[in-house]
Amino acid sequence: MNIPALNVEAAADPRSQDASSQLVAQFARASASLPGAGNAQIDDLREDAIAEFAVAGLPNRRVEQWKYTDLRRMMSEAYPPASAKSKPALTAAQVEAALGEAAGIDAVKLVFVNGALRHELSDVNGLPAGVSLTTLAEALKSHDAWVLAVLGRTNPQAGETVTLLNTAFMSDGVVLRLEPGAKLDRPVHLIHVTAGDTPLAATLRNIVVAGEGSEAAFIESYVSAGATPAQLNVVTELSVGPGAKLRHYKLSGENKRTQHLSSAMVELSEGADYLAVNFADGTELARHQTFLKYAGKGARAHFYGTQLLVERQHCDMTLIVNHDAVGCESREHVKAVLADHAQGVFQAKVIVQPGAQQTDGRQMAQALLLSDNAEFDAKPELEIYADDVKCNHGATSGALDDDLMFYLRARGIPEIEARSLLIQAFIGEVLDQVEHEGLRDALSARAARWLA
Amino acid sequence: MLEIRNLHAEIDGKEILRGLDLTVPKGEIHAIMGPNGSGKSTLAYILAGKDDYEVTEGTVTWNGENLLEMDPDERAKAGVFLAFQYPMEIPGVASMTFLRTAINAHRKSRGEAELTTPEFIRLVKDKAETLNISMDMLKRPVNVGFSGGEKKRHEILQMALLQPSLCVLDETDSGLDIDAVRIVSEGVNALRSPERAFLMITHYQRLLDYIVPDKVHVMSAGRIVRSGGKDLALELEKSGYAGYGADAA
Ligand SMILES: Nc1ncnc2c1ncn2[C@@H]1O[C@H](COP(=O)(O)OP(=O)(O)OP(=O)(O)O)[C@@H](O)[C@H]1O
Ligand SMILES: [Mg+2]
Repeated sequence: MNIPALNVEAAADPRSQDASSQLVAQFARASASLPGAGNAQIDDLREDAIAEFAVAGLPNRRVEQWKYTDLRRMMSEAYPPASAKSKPALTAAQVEAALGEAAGIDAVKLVFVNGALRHELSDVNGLPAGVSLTTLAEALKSHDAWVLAVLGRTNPQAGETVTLLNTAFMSDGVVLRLEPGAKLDRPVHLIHVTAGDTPLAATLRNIVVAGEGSEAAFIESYVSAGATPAQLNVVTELSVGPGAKLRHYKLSGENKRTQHLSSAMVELSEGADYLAVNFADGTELARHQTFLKYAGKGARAHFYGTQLLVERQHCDMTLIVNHDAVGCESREHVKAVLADHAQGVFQAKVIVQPGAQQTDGRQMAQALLLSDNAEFDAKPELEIYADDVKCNHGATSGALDDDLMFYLRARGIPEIEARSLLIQAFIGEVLDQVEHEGLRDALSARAARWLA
Repeated sequence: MLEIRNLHAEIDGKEILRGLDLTVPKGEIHAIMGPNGSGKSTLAYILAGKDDYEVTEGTVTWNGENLLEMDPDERAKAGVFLAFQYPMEIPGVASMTFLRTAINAHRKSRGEAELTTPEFIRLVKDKAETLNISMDMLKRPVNVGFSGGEKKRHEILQMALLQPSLCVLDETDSGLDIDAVRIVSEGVNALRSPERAFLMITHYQRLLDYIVPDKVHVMSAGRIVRSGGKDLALELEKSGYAGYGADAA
């Protein structure tokens, strides 16, 4: 297959090109060693994706959905894919240190370092009946028929640039399958750590298929063990079956030399119940996208996000919520605490298709600006083609309330502690949504540490 | 001793306090009465350190320390306590967390260890009981969903827990039912000591039946215009503020 549009030959000096060209050139070099190479279906999938990517390249701010996150400008260079051969030595203690408060969570653990699973650091024992867990790399290498059948199927946003890149480069990830009625008593915890001295890119693809009436919690934690510059691209496909209940938590707490692009692709069957809570205090640049499709009646999806940003951190939480079934409920609520020159972004587009009557959708974005130079951009959008719906949205941003600060300080509480109490109260509304107690405590403690 | 000399203060360019003089010795309770808008709350806020006001002239010392140079939390640690006329609601901050943070901040400044959880709970329970405050109420965020009277009792609970030495009560009796006035008054009287001074802002002489003041001051247009004994309150009750230059503001 030919790769059009961008000049691959000029790849001799990668710095002479923009990141889009570098990515296309990297694919040409790496494709033969990606997991599953040689399998026609997998090869086609990857090649079609890079070809489609190459046409437009990374989006700039003139692309409507990327108005506040000019990826082409912010991602000026594409780091080379992490080499499977250079495995940084990393101990369990180092992984725990990198995870901080989230290390103590009792879970089935899959630890990935620089994009590749590390068996010796993982613990996948004790899965109940009806639950199978494997890695994407294993599945692709063994041409796992079930995985090949579902891979890329949950894709409410076909053709979206970042996910195309992911399809081209995906090298590992978690594949979690719950048979109808299966119930996980502990969460499955994906832990991704970047380590080492050289800049690297890692591309993960997770697949979660929750059969009818099943229940599970899936936690993704992304952290750094040091100052490794890294670019992550993570796609998580989640198919929530009829009446299934899926909790999906995510911590993006990497170092400030990390760029993280993530896309959750969610499809909800009748009566499905999906809850996502994103907690982001890491990275230099993050774009966390959620594409949600309601395919069966009476389903509900709640998304909560919190951003704690300093310096020049940029975090974008963008959702496209497509109501295509009767009587479904959606909530998107993001709270951002922004200091210094940080920039927080919240975009949510809720589409109510003709016939998606009795849709109940609410969006809210709130920012606490701790500095005059911080910026919060909120763009809630409603596109409604049905007449019997209940939808609304709101956005607020402001500084800490001086009168409340005075009340606390008049009781002897020092300024920093008073501020911390008020900020914790502000984000508490989001953290309270985390149903897993251990994780909720871990995130609260992490937030408190951020504030200290 | 609280000493206020020639205090001038303004907000948004508008002068509210216009040369206020007031002395409250330790061990005494002084009441301040005066028409709406005369600057009583302004004085209370300035004592507690609210920075919306600009002090343009004058001095305020407590036990010889210059209060005006201190941050609000430093003043609190120096013993100043303001029971707010309108206590603030703080959604998301649990009352118990708030009380504990405040108590421990005071203990820390005195070089004492933080209270353990059981010690803290016992302390709060004891004081809450005497003020007829249910522990259920304290499970809620600070003042959120509290009735007007409950908010005022919560202020006095904080005062009882923090044991300040200069207690400024801004219309703590307003909005209290008859029983609550008695309960709150008992709470205040329990704190009376030779080491403490009280400044009580009130509109009602009724309160002064329960908490008998050593002195009553009349404030008008940003100044103390008359001072007297407890009988002055009775007189005001009859004659109102006519003749005190209330219009001068
Ligand atoms: N931000 C402001 N700008 C201008 N004037 C203000 C401001 N805040 C308060 N004031 C004025 O200051 C004056 C004194 O107010 P203050 O609250 O101290 O009165 P008060 O004696 O406590 O009255 P009350 O008995 O009603 O409680 C009032 O005239 C009020 O309108
Ligand atoms: Mg007042």
